[in-house]
Amino acid sequence: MEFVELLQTAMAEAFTLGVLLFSILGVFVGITVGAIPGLSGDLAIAIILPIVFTLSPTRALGMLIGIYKGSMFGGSISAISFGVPGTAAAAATVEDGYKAKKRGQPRRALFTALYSSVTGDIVSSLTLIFLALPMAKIAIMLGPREFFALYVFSLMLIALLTQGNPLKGIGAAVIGLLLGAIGMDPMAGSTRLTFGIPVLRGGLQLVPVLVGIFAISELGMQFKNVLMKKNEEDEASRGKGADLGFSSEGIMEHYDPAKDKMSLRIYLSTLKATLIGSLTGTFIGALPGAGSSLAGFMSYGLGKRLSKKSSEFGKGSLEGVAAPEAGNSATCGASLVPLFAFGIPGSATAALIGAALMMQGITPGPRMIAENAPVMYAFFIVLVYASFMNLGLSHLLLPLYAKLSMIKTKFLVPVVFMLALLGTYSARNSVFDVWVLLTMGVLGYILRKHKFPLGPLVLAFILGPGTERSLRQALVIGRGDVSYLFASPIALGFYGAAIAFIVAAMLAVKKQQEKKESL
Amino acid sequence: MKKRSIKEYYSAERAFGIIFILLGIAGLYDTMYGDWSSGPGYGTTFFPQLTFILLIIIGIVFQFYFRENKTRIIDWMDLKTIVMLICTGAVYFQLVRRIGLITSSFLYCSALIAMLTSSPARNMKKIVLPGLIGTIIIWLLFTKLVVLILPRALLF
Repeated sequence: MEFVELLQTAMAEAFTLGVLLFSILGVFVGITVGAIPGLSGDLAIAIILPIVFTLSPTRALGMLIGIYKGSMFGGSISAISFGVPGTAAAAATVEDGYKAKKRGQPRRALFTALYSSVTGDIVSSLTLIFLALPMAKIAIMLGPREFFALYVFSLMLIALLTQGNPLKGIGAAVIGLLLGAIGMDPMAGSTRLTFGIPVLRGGLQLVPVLVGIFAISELGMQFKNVLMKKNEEDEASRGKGADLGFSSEGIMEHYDPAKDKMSLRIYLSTLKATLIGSLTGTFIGALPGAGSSLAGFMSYGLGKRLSKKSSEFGKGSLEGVAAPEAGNSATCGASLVPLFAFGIPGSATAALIGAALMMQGITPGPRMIAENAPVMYAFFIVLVYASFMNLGLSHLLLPLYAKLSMIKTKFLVPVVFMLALLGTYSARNSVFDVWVLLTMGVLGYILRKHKFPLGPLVLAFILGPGTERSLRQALVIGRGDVSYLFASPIALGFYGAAIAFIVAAMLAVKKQQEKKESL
Repeated sequence: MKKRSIKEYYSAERAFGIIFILLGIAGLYDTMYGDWSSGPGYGTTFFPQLTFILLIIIGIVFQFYFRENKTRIIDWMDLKTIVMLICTGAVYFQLVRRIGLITSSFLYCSALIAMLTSSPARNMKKIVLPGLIGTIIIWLLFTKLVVLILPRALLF
């Protein structure tokens, strides 16, 4: 198909009413869940995942990417309005966003967050569009041993770069590899680790594992928090009466709406910080394992260091809002680059989008764009206009989102839990999947409680079969000679980089430990 | 020097390490002596063996690295959460298949909200109304958008 013809087909597909409506719905849901503390884009995508398989690929992808983009900005609404980040990615925004609000600039802070978020998002989306195809062309030239080295490198990066202790990241990744090994051997087709259970022959399904690990465990944590709060309130009511009123901490003093107007001049004054955040976020987002939260904090740090008014950071600076918001949103498109080019999801959300692609019969990897050109080009168009939908919807509905972010968790937990259960069941009408979902929920809950990062577990579960396939293919080509795995400069480069990352992570852990001991 | 008790010595992470080591040894044993069709060369067992060895190594490293944290793997509140959320979820799912989607969703949603609301704030309106809204969302999604195939139930 000619490029112009392809573009026309993609445009026609991307601008159908159904795709537009599902993308808007996705953005709306994304901003809402992002704004509600405790809920996140990952959780919403995991819940929606079993449901979207009934939609066409473009509608499904439009909705998911809408949720992803919307949730990135949504997190900043409660961060600025109440000082509570709606998502982990917005944690860095609290620092200056909440102080700007207390200084009497809530509108400026929210709109600065919105504009910088959309700018970062567009930079990242364009990076994906222009980088994925050339990188996929390079990936086609890689053989099994190079792919195995790339998998090892990615797994290491995923385990080490996720927030928290790298050792726990590696532990979680190994559990993920084991879960991924259950069922059919990817080369010989014989079954293993099934413990005599016939339904396990096909392995653990992606949907119950993803929804259980991400959504059910998170719901469990929320449930526990609400239960503890309820117990405290019950205790208080038995004593001197429950204090269910609002605290005065977040109330602004001397608010003058006339002094809180947003303008182009203000946007331009934060443009440098926005661009720093956009570029940092895009770079970090493209690295497997490094999430939006890390991007937010790094962008904030860099923005502060390179700002002429760095002393104002931490006191309600709008640049301090723009940098982390652009940074975390810029991971959206970039985190899909490794997925589209190599079939390796760079983040938990990218893994969920990869799962959605697989449910639609599209296998992520170097040949994905070439083999599904009309759908993928339509997706690229949706990727760009979803950013503008985010801008428009947020502009119109900002007060509504601020109100929605105050919905109490106790009302959301039962509904979201029912959605997860029924959604998982509906994906294959399998009762066994529901048991897997609940088991994974318990596993995820225990690991989450002890601060094991769950991203590496899920990503290793997805990457495991691919890693094994390329390892064994390489060993077959090398006639069983292990040295064949290292007889390629590209593979050696990946191994070298992986070792360098391990050393760097260990040094960082040691430094952290020394710092802790000195305190 | 004060002698430390086992309870003091073993942090939750170290207990995780022990679980990893035991799981790794059991897995390795199973790959070597269990009912596996290994095949020629690097067969079916190769990758799981590598993973089990990695698990054992991680378990050993955990023993040396984590010494301070004294939290239990699961405390009473966690157990309560797991039983209340996960087990009631399993019951809800069985109820959906037996008495029907709408009835069980309404009952489950209302019951859970009632359970999570503190006694001073608990009243019928605050429990029934969100239960009703939750049921409508579920009904719309799983009968209009996604057609959920369920066995014939007692009610609706």
